[in-house]
Amino acid sequence: LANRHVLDGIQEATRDALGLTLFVEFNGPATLETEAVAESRRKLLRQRYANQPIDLLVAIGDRLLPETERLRKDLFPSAKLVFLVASRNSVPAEMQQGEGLLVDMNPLPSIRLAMSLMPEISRVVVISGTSTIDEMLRRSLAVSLTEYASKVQVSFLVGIPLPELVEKARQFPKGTLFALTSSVADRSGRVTSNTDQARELSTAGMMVVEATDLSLGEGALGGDVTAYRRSGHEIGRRIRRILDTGQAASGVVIESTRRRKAVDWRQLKRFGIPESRVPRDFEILYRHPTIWERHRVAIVTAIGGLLFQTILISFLLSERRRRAAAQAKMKRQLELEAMVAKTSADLSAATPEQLPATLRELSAGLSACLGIERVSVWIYEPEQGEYVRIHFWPESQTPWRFTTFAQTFPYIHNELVSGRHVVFTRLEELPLDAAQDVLELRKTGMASFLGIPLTLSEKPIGAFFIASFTRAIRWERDAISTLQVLSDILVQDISRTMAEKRARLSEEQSRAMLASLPGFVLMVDGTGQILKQNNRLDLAEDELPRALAGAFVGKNFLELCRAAGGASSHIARGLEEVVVGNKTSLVMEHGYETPDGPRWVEMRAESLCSERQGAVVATTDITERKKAESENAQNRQTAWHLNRVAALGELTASLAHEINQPLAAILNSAEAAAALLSRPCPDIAESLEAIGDIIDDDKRASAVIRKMRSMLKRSYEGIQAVNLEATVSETLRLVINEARLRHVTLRHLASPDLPPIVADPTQLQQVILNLITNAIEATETMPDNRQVEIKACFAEDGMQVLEVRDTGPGISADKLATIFEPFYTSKRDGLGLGLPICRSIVDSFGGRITVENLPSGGAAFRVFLRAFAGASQTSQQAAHVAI
Amino acid sequence: MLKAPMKVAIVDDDESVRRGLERLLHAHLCTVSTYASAEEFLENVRRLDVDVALIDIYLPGLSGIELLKRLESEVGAPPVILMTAHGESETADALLDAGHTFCLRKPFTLEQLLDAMLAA
Repeated sequence: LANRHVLDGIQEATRDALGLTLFVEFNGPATLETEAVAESRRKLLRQRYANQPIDLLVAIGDRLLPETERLRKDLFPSAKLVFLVASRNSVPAEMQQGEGLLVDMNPLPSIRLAMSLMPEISRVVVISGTSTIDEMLRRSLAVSLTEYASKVQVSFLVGIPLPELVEKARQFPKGTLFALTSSVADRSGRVTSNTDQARELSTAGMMVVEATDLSLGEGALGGDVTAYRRSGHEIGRRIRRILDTGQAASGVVIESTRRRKAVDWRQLKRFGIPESRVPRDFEILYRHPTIWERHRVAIVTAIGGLLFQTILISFLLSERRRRAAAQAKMKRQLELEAMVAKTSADLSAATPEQLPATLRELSAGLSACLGIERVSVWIYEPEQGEYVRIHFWPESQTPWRFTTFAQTFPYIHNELVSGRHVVFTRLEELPLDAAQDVLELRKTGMASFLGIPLTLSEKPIGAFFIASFTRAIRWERDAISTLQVLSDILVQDISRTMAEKRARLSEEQSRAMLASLPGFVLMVDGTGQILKQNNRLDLAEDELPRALAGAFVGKNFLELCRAAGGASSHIARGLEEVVVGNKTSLVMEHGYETPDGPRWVEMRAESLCSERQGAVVATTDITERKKAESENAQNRQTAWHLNRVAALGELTASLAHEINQPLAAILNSAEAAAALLSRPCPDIAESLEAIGDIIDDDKRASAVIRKMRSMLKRSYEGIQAVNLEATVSETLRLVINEARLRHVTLRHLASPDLPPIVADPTQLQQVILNLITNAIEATETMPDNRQVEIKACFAEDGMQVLEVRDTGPGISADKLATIFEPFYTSKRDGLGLGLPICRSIVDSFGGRITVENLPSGGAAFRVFLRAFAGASQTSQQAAHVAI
Repeated sequence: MLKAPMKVAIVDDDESVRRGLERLLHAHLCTVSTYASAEEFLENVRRLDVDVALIDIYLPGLSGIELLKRLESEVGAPPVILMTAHGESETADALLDAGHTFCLRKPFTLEQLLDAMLAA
C-alpha cells in the first residue's frame, strides 16, 4: 500500500514531463525471497533492460536499495539513483551517489496529538513487529514516552498475529491508545500491513494511531504523519530535476520525507472529540466521505502490499510523457458507473432471450471501462456442486475447456462457493493453497482476474468473472464496489432467468409430451374450459365424434359434450366429476356413427390436483381394437356353439331315447284309440283318455326337441338372473339316459332354496353339460363304482358353487395346471375345447372354475358363480360393452 | 289279430310307455300287468300267469338283458319280447342275431307287436 501511494505520487509529479517513460517492476513478497529468487530476478531484469537506455533508477524500500544499486552498477553505470528507505542503515556503505528520502516510522507525533485531543487516555500500547526497524522504534518510543509517565502506562505488544492481537487489545481498559509502528511481521513470519491492523482494531472499538497516512480513513485517528503520496511527489520532483538538468547530488544525500497533519473526522466523532481541540494546522478529513475521497485509497489485495516491501522503478527518457494516470482512473470510474447504471436497467428489464445480448453489451462496456478482455457469467448447479458457464465474452475467443470448474480451479471454486471474491493483479498474488489453480491459469495465460460470487440468501447461485490476459490490472476499490452492485443485479436477473427457464423447460416438456402422444389430448380447467391441446387424432373432421370435432383451446369441452347430446351428454356427466375433482380418473368408451361406418374412441380423464382443478382428457381411436374384440367375441361364440353341437352329438343315443319313448307311447295310444273307436259300440271315454295321453306325450317330445334346439342355436340369451338348481335339473334330464347307457350312476344332491345367480342360461347349461359328460366319460373307464355326483351350494363371498365330482381316475398332476388351456384334451375324439370353453364362459359371468383331484380318487370341478344382486347388476355388466 | 286274448306283462320304467301299451293291449282284449323295474317283475314272476313278457332293455338297476338271462334260467318263465327306445343298440342287435328272442324298436306299430307276440 505504501508503495502504491509513493508510486502514485511519483506518477502525478512526473506526468507532464515530456518524453518520460516509467517502467515499474514489482518484487515478490519478502517472505518468499531467497538468494535463488533474487538471482533469477537479476537475470530477468538484465535481459529486459539490456538494450534500454536507462537514465535513472528509483528504489523504493530498504530491501531493494542494495539490489538496485547492484543493477545500476552492472547495466547502467552512468544512471542516477533516487531512493526511499526507512532506515539509514539500509544504504550500502559502498554506494557512491544517490538522493534519498528517509521515512519516519515513529508514531510519536501522532501519539502526542491523540494525547492532546483526548486527555482521558491513560494507557498507550505500542504494537510492533519483529524487524530491526521495529525494535529501534520501540526503544526510541520507550524513551520518548517517559515524559508521559505520570499519566499513562506504556506497554508493548510485539509480533502478535492479527486475530490474536485484536483479542489481546480487547483486554485493555477504556482509554487505551494503540500506536502502530511499521507494518508488522509477526512471530510466524507472516506479514500484516498496519492498515489491516488499524482497520481491525478500530472495528473492535479501539483508538489507533500510526506513523504514516496509510491508515488514514481506514480506522486510524490520524496525526502528524509521514505522507507517502507527498513523498512520491518529492521523489518525482527530484527525478525531473535530475533529468532536466542532468545534475544530481554528489555523494549520498538523505532527507526526511514529507509529512502531513490530518485527522479522520469520523474518528473524532466516534470518540467524542470536539473539532475545536484539533490544532488549526491539521486537516480534518472525511467530513463527508464521498466516493471520490475514498478513491484516493487504492486497493491492493496482494499479500505483498506491505510497507517498504520492494519496488524497483526505472525511467527511460525516450518516449512521450505518460497519461495522467489518476485522472484517467477517475474518468474510468465515472464511465464504469455510468455504464453499469445503464446496463443494470437493461438487465432488470431483460427477458431470458434478451439476456445474452444484454450481457454482451455489458461485457463490451466493462472491457472499455476497465481494460479487461474477458467476461464470463456462470451459474451454480447445486446438484452437481459446479459452476456452469452461461455467458462468455468475447465471442470471437474460444472459452477454456476443462473437465469441471471445481476440479480445475479448486481454490477459486471454494472461495466463490464460500461467498468470497477472488482478486489478483498478478497470478503470484494467489496464496499457496491455490497452487493447482495457478498452474491451470498459467496455461491460459491469464494476467489479472476478478471473480465475484453471486449469492442469494448466502447460497451460491453463480459467479461473475472479468479478466485480462495482457495487462496487470489494478482493481480499484470503487470499481469493485460498482461491480458488486452490478453483481447484485445479476443475481436477481439470473435467479429470475433460471426460474423462467425451469418453468419454460417444464412447459416445453409437457408440450413435447402432449405432442408425442397418439390420439387427442386436451387439458381443461375446473369449468371444462380447454387450456391446451395437442395435434388432433389422425381422423378427418367427419370421422370425429361431434364434441371432439369442435374442441379447440378456449372452448368449453363440457358444454361441447352436452351440446352433442346422446352418449356425449353421458360423457359430460362423467367428465364433470373428474374436472371438479370428485373423481380422480375415468375411462369411457364412446361409439358413434360416421359416413364410413361405426367408430369407437376411448376417453380417459385424469383429474389435476391443482387449485384450479381441471383434468387431462385423452381420446384414442379404438375402432380397430373394437373390431378385433368383436371378431374375437364372434369366434368365441362360434367355438362355444361348436362345443354345444359336439356335446349334444355325444348325447345322440340318449336324445333318441328321450324322443322315441314318447313317440312309442303316442303310437300305442293312437292305435288303442283307433281300436276302441272302431268297435261296434265305441268306447268314447277310454278313447278320450288315450288322446289325452297322446297330447301329453307329444308335448314331452316337443320339449326335448326344443331343448335341443336351444342348445344348438348360435345366439345367446344374455346375462340374467338364473336359478342354478333348476338349470342343473334340466341338464341332468339330457344326460341321465346317457349315464344309464354307460352304467354310470348320476347323483344329484339338490338344494332347492338357492337364490338366483348371474349367468346366461344356455351357456350355463352348456358348462354343466360339459362337466357332467366329461365326468361320465372319465368314470366309464372304471371297472365298478361308476358315480358322478352333482351338487350346488353356497360358497364364500355370497357366491354359489356348482360341484361335479366323479369316481374316475382323476387328472394327472402334469395336466392339472393346463387343463383349462385351449387344445388340451384327455378325450380321444373330443374337440379338446370343452374345458377352455367352460372357463371362458364362466369368466364372462364374472365367476371362476377350478379343478382338484379328490383324495378318494376322481376329480372335482367347481364352478363359482356370482349371486344376482338386483336389476342394477345386469345393466352394470352391460355397461362395459357400450356407453 | 289275436285268436284268443293273451295275458301280457309289461316291464318299462317309462310310465307313459306303460300306459300306452296297456291301453292298446286292453283294446285288443289282453290281460295286462305292468312293472316299473326288473326287480319288481322278478318279485312277482313265480306267481304270474302270463303268456308273454314285454321288457324294455334299459331299465334302472337290473337291465332288461340281465332280466332276460335270469328268466331263461327260471323254469316256466314266459317268453320274452325285448323293447328299446335307442335306435341302434349293439347289445340288442347281438341278442337278436343269436336268435334268442324278439326285439322291438320303439316306436313300434300294433302289427309289429302282434306279430312278435304270436311268434313268441
